[in-house]
Amino acid sequence: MAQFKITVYDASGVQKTSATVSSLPTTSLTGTLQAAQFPALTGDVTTSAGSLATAYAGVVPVAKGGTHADLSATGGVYQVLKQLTSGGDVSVGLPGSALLNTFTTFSGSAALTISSISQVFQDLEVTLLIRSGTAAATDTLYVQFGAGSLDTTAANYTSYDIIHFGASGSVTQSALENFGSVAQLKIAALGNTTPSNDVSLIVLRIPRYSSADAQKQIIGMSTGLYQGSAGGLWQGGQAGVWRNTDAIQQIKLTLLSGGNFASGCAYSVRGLAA
Amino acid sequence: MTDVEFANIVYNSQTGEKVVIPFTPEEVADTLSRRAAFAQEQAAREAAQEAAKAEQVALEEKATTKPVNEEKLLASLPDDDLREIIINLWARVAYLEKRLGIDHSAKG
Repeated sequence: MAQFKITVYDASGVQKTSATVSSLPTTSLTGTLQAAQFPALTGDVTTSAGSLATAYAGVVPVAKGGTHADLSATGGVYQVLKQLTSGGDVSVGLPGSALLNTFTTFSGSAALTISSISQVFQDLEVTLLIRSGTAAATDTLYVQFGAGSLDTTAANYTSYDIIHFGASGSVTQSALENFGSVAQLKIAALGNTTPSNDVSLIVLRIPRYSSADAQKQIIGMSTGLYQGSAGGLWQGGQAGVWRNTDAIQQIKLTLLSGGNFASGCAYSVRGLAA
Repeated sequence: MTDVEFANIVYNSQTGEKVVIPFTPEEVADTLSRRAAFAQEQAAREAAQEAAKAEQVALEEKATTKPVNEEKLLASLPDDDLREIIINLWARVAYLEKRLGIDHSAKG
């Protein structure tokens, strides 16, 4: 290894036995700085003298491209980085909404259950594309809820709906308490007649579905084309109460007709942080 | 009948796992009962719709039928009381049609 000897003289020409070089022209020194010669650093990046190992002191501020957050202590399922104010610290938390399940198709069975629904959000939005396998203009979708097990207590369900059929057709309404022998909410759904390959759209919104301190209010909307023309379009509003304070962890769907779900049925679930 | 017809397809929302749970005998019975009841209701509904259609057709046909021969009809009735009731009814209908602006003159 090449070595260089630097001799320092004072202004009178006397050789100095020790000296401090405070400033050198940038072109005066070349070569590689050896580990033992590495100086101690302070500030954002620190190191002890003589060590090439450096560390970032504290969290990296937003202004320097960081988050100003200790990410080692945060995070979790569905959580994301978010910056709520311009230039503010970046934090970790739930997004405003997240797709828990993209559209999943199902058919051929008389019942479908969406189970193990994540409990980290506050509101739940379930989108259903439903076509009954029963040869009828319309059918009715039944919805049941449960935490660990399905709630089949009829007295725990109340359902109310208003449905408008056709461009100038009739309006039907019904209020159901302890409906039938099986507990459920009632929502209009398309039957297996014309138009072929069509499905009805049902959207359910359940605020505070994951809470365990209050009964659950459900509001639903449904629409479908049951005669293949504008005159055969229905639009319905459904409201329901699940008289149970358990968190909703599962949702079971069946049809009034007892028929199977036809091809084209699908569900998706979205969680909202509310 | 498919192998999952009398079954509950359970999708795990978090893992995507799909499990087919066959119905219990009670669930099968309930499903069959629902199907029978629905078919019965649908048949009744369709019958009612057909009856309504037939009634509508009959009303439309009646509305376009030539007026009956009143004298002949009255003569065919068994007694005067019934004749008086019919005459009063015709009078009330005529009055109502006049109030409602219903004009049969254009009909054959």
